Amino acid sequence: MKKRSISLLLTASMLLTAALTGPVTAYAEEHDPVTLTFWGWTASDFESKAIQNGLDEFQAMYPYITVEYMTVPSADYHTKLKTALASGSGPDVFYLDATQVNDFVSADLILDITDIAADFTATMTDASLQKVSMKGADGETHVYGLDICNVGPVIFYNKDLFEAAGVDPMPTKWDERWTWEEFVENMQKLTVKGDDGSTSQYGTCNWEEGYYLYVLQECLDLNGANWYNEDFTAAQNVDSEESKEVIENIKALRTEYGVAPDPNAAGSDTSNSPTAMFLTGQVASIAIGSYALQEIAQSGLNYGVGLFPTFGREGDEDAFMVSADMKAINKESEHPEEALLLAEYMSSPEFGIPIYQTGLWMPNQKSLYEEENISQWFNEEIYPEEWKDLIPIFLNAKDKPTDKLSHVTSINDAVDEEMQAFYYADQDADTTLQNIENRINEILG
Amino acid sequence: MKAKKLKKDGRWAILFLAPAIIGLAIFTLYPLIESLHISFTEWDLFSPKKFIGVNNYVKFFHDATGLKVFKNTIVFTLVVVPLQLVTTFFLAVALNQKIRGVRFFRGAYFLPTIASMVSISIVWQWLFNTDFGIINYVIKLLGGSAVNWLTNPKTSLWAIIIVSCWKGTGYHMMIFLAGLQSVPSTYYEAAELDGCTGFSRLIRIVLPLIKPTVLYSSITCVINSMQVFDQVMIITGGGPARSSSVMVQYLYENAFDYYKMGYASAIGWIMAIFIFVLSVIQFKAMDNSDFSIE
Repeated sequence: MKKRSISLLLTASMLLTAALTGPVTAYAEEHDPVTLTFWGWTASDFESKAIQNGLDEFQAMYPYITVEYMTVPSADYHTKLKTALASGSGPDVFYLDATQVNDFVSADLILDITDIAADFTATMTDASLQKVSMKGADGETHVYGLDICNVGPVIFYNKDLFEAAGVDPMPTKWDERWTWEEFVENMQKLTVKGDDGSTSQYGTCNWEEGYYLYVLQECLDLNGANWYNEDFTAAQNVDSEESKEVIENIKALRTEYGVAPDPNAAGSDTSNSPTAMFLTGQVASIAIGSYALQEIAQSGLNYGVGLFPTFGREGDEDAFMVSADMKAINKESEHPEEALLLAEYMSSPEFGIPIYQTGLWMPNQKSLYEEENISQWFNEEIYPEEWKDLIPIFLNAKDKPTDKLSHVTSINDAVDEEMQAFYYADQDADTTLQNIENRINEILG
Repeated sequence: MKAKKLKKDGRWAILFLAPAIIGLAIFTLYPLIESLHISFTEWDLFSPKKFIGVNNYVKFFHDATGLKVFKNTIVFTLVVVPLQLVTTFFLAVALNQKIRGVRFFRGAYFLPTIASMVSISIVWQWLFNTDFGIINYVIKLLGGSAVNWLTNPKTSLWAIIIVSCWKGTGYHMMIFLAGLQSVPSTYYEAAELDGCTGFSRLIRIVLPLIKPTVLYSSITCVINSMQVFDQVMIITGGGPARSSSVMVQYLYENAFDYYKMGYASAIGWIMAIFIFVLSVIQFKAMDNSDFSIE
């Protein structure tokens, strides 16, 4: 009797298992097993965890696909990726910084997904679509990747230090932005000097960050300084009065008004240094990409957010720029269909929302900016209340110029070298801007 | 019979040497020859190589940035090599005495050598911080004014030189120490009997006896200085405005940031030739030196 019961129980459990796993097994059996490789740069713990969770979900949805996830240190990421792709050992799907799209397309390394991902790309914000696409030799716009995030230039500030200095919160509405003069005046109020004349607290920092990032490009556009021709094949008007005003104003923050500290170093990746100064209360505000919100939110600091000051140009509403990374597919992938499935999943709201909630990225799907959907990602513990004012600004943002250039690494290095000669040596503004124009044209030529 | 044995031994020798020779051929000789070939071409990794003769070599001597990094590398080498060799020699002499705690001091001075260059570079980056770094704090305590170590083009290379000397001290000290300890005590005793002591003994007796050690340290120090890279990349990134940029960094940028493999290979060969010439000069100088016991 006992043996019979056990036998019945085993049979029942076997049937139940078969019933439950039947559809999945059948689904898996319809396809041959596929292994995809996915590369990303070394990310924060939050991002890494979100990526791993997303990959697990994806593999549960498509049991016949196995994804091997590999991270590469960000400093060498594009070099290793490009050489791996060129040698035929590259990943099927990979993160790609938007600035690299042009060069990777020129080297014929990325799959053109214009037609096959049309439904998906129709849902992306304009800036996001600009970022992943470029005009081909046929005059048509081609799409080379899918996108999940937007990052734009903002100023984070320490609310406690602002309050102690009697400075108003930074404006978050476009029409209410401070003028550059008001900004300087307020930063002066926030700069504290000790008895020995040394500065113990600075008003602001990070305005002299590298060209490929956010601050300089945003300020130039705010003042109407456009450095490139329409198709980004040549530099022009770099030495305009508008450009000169911007770079002189930025330098004066440190050298004339003393409201910004000397950066820890100029040339190496110093992004940690100003953030550390801001987080430890040595600086009251920081101009930086919105990605910094994630780290700032974890610090316990009483922080707020604001917009860059205006340079006084009328109609500068079009100046807000966003950028970030994208997912691209290896042109030589043996499994392009599955690779597209993975890229689409990793660019979907399901994948992105947990990361948006940490503050690292802003959404890139138009639907997530609709009033009824904002609550899905707007985490009130992370985003300060006034961030809601920035939502329409992010939605209507445009792409950065550096995302459209070819030979962008050489251009960045040349611009940074000249800017450093202006910021930290005695090269004047006119020579700097003229040199920049000549060097960019030499590189693009 | 003997010839047969020699032949048999020769076969065994070839068999045992084969792995090393094959490894050398694949991983050293072939890349060396191929890099020489690439240096005469224009190649971006993706397109076919295009032969352009000696253009890459000519280009380097007309490239303002190339000449600037070459000059920086020479200045770095000219300062670091004598500074490091002289200080480490006297340090080794001091640590060769029977003094209390000598083992601790030897270990302490050697410690930076085994520390990771990346870690110490990051630490030094903070030490050099204009507003909050310890170095400027001490300078201000002594009545001086803060120095923008890493953002002033006049001081950035000196910051790299300081870190490099600090890092390399332990290694050369240990080499000199080994050299000093290999000098038989009879030489010291004989010198003492002849009335040669102190500094005179050091210069006239000890230095000539450790000439091979001096030559070894000098050559390795020159090679390491010409190839300085890690600390530059981490501490200053070559900035500001290329004021601390060096040859290997420029080579790396051309190869892996700008994908100019031909130009990068040419820079590598120019460096190799320069290092070879410097090494020959050092050998000759050492041969002709009056470092001999009179």
